[in-house]
Amino acid sequence: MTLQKSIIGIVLFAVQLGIAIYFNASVDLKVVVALAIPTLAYILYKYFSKKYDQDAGPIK
Amino acid sequence: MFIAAATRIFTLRFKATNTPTVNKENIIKATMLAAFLLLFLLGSRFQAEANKVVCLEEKCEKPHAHGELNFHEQFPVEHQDSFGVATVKSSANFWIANASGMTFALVIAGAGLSLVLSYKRIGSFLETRGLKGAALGSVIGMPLNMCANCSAVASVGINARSGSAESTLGVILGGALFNFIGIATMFTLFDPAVVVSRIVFSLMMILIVVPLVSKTIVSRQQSVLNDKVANAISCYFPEKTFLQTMVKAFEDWLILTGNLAIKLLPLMFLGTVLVALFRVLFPNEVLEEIGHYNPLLVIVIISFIGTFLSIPVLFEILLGTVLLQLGFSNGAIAAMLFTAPSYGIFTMVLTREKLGGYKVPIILIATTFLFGIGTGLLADFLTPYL
Repeated sequence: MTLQKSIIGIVLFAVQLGIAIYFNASVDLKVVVALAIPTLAYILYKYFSKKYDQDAGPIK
Repeated sequence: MFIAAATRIFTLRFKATNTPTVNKENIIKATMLAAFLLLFLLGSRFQAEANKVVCLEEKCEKPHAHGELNFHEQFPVEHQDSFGVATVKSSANFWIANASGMTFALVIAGAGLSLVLSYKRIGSFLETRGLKGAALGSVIGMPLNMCANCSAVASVGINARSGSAESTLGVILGGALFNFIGIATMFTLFDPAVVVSRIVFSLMMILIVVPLVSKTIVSRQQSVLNDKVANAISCYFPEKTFLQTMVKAFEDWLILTGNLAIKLLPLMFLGTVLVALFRVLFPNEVLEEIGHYNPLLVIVIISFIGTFLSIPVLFEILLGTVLLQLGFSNGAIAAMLFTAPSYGIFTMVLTREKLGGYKVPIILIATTFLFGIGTGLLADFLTPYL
């Protein structure tokens, strides 16, 4: 599985997170969103700026 | 208990290796895993369980709004609904009832797998086989406070790389059958014979059946996850600062959560539809109709329904109270309390790959059905003595 598929998986996870928040707007889910958004932004930045390729591996 | 076990693991030393036992990355990832679990338990799970107890004690403000599972449902299934509409509504109700649990199961699975991939010692801990592996798995599963469905997601995720079948099943069954809040609530609502027989058969399921059926798996190492992305997680960068390592820990967590989500969410969807189909085929009216049957036949029918019925956490107690109100015997109630939260269709779909095909899942489902009957018979036998 490539990093591209993992990113699609993160999008799927975000949809599931959105459904959970819509029906149970609990604080724990909001904390997860608060942590996931900047992390996803960082992953997307590294992915589109090809930093994962430069690191000779998908994650470093 | 889980935190104590994790602390003990961290104190163990590697021998004959250049890699330090504990590094910044492992500490951060272990803390992250514990923090996610605490966040889930304190943020919503304990509150959700308390709400269910309120409904159980008949102190609920909207008792008329209780649906098929004797709890509040978003889309009530009506008698006039067609089979398709009822299935869609039932699927949606199941997904919504499990929404927080499933989401956190993925979050915790991502964090757990990230730690397992970085810290080889924990990886080998989860590879433990036999009775010990099943027992260790169940100890990890207990504090999750999740139903079998959500703990299956967490368990398959955490054990995705090299965890044993025993550990995988132990986490699922430990979480589903040894929920402390659930057991304490059961003692307040049902006859002690019901709860004692459920505990006895739960222990037998984890400590005897799981190790035995796991031996039948042909391939010893069933890895659900074996790819470039996961391989890159298990790196060690001592030169990185604490902040850089922290960023990497979050990056690893989210990538692995996505990795598991793309693999497990479609299976979760399939499992949900199958469960909903069964709910529509066997609605609560069936329970009302069988009340006057022969007691043994009632236990057999309840065990059959319970085996194929996957439910969110503690919903088995809600179903148990339905049976209690309908005047069923302790045996029938015990059969439902054991089979409904145990291994079922949803968990079968999730664990099929990890367990090397459908053979072991089918054996487990058949055992759940038979043990359900056993639980019922034992409860009826113990009732005069307890």
